[in-house]
Amino acid sequence: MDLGIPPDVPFIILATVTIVGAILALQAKELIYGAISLAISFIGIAGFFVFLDAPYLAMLQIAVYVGAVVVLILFTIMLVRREVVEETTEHEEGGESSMGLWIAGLLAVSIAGVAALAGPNLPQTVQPANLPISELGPVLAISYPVPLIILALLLSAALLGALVLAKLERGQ
Amino acid sequence: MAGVRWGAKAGWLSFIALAYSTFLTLLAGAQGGVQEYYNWSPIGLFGLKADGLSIPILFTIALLCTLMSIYSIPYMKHVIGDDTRQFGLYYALLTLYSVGMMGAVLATNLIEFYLFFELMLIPSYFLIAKWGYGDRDRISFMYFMWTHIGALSFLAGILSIGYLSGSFDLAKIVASTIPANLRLLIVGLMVVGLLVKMAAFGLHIWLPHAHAEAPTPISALLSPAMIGIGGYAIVRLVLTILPTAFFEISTILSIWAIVTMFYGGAMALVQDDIKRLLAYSSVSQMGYILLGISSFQALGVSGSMFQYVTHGLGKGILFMMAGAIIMQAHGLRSISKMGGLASKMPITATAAIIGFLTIMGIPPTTGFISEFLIFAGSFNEAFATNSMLRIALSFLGVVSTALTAGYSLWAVKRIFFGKLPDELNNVTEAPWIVTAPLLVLAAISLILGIYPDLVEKLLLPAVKMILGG
Amino acid sequence: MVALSSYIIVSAALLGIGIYGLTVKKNAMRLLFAIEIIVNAANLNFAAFTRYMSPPQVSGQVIVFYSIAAAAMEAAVGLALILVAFRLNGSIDVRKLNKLKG
Repeated sequence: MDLGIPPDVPFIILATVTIVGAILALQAKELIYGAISLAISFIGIAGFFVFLDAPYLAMLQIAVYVGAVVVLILFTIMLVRREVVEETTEHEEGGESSMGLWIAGLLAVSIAGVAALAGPNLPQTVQPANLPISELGPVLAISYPVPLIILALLLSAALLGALVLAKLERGQ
Repeated sequence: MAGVRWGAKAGWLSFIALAYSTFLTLLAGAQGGVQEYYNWSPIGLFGLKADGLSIPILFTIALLCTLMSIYSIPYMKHVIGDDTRQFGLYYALLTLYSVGMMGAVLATNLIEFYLFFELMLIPSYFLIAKWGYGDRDRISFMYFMWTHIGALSFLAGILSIGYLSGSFDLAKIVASTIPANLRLLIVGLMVVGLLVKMAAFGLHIWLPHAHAEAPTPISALLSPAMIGIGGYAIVRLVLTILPTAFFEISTILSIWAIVTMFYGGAMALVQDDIKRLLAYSSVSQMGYILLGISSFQALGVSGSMFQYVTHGLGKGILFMMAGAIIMQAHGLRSISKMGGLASKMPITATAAIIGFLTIMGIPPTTGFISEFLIFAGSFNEAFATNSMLRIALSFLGVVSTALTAGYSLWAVKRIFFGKLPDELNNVTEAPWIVTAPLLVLAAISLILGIYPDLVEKLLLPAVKMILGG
Repeated sequence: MVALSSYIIVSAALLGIGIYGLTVKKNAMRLLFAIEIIVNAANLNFAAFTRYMSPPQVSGQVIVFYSIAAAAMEAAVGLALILVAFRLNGSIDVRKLNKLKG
């Protein structure tokens, strides 16, 4: 029962940054600090993509998540300003949802446990990868055309939806 | 003596001893099996064999005993109070009981098995008689008599085999032959004796009383660990020695198993006392094991041995949950008075839900794997022998899992969710010595449920060898 | 180079954090954070597995591509909903947003 090749230092540092960023995103008292911590966690994930020989994905992650989603989140937080002040008085009093911590913990521990125990059966090293970005396009268009089209339709639907919602509150 | 000096903390001593045993079991599992034989007496060799079949069983027993020894520390304080002398006696009996169970699983000699089988009985009798609830003298006596008479029937079978084949060692018996006209009788005697231990329908009268009124850590050992040993013994002893005769009665056993499953499930549905509900649930789960064994297929039999592990983990969690509630709510056992406990005892609630999911057979717990294997074996056998009866039985078996889901989910709803009655407002979560074993068992159930190969790679070859040979 | 199981462990940890956030937190923005964390955990898992196959595949990266796009869209619409809910109810505490309850 081992992790195979033990993770080297850069991996551990990146993993720590990502995980701690995620925890802080949920636990920080102020919502804005949480959003910034979430952005740092996303950059950590982008770092993982670089480790995994997927530079295009890393750039996509930073452009879309950090560049768009986190910015949108920051805008929304600033627009619900009143709530930010009340953020510090938000209590999650026990209730049945306090089970959530233990459920999440057990699930994460068991999956990690399976990964550790099945370690020797999983690939330890990688074959030298030849995944140039130019290969991505043909696969997208030829092997997975249907999801591509559905994605385009989804994008338009989301755009229209956001516009309608904006109209709604303007009308209100 | 340790009890007098340290009071309840004496539990740590037995914990260390049992934890060491668990560790050794894991080592044996990693190595693929360990065997030791000693010269005993003219009866034969005294062997300890930990092979693919017995290691998962042994591991479950060792793990449960280890966790129960530290679980007992706060619980027995709750039951006994401050009379420090009793603690030493309790832990000595607990450790002796563990030895009995582990020895029975490791035995390779019929007499040796019988010895450990009865050795399990005596400490548990004393444990129930001294520290049980309710009418404990009568109940412990009833438990003793029932199980002992069953063991005597088993003994009759063993002695006849020993006389007819000239030896009590398993290896030698397999090589010899037993006159064909007596085989059915011997198999009947042995199986009936073991079924008393497994509490099949009709022979189960002792179980609801004993499990409900025993002190909870002992219930958590009686139910998950001990009664399954009957199933293990059927596979190890009866299937190995007399497979053809067993095959002849396997259809009857299937019918018996289905009846047990339905009876246990139906009775569990109407219980109000939480420990009695879990006891009837154990009866039902033993029916599953019996169904798997009687399918006489490698998948089914390994499924029932896996079900032993599942039931060990799941029932261990559930009895510990019941004990935690009894401890924290000062003796509360009636489900109708409980409600909304999830907000007060979140760790117990999470572990209990996973425990109930394990019993129900929901992925990703081990229950799914074991039930799948049992029913796969049962259906395989039905199609292999083209028997309409077996197909019907297999369907009924699947239907009875609905009963299991029924009483489990209803119990969860009534105990943990809903409105919190006013008397329970001051309930707090159990101390970490209690919640840690709960979480350990829950995590193991999830891990094995996602990656059962850890156990299956030991079980399946061993079972195939037994059935093929 | 690291073994695959290390990536799975990191992914499992992120999943656990996300589930914790989703079940325990009452602020609608935190719930959105949690959803994004979960999606990122899944993306990491996909990218790791596709790299460690023999030979390494590019199809896993395509899946991650779709996943990032879909998650970004869902975050945008979700944020719009939170904004509207806030304007109508004055709060983003999900315990107070139960006007549709029967």
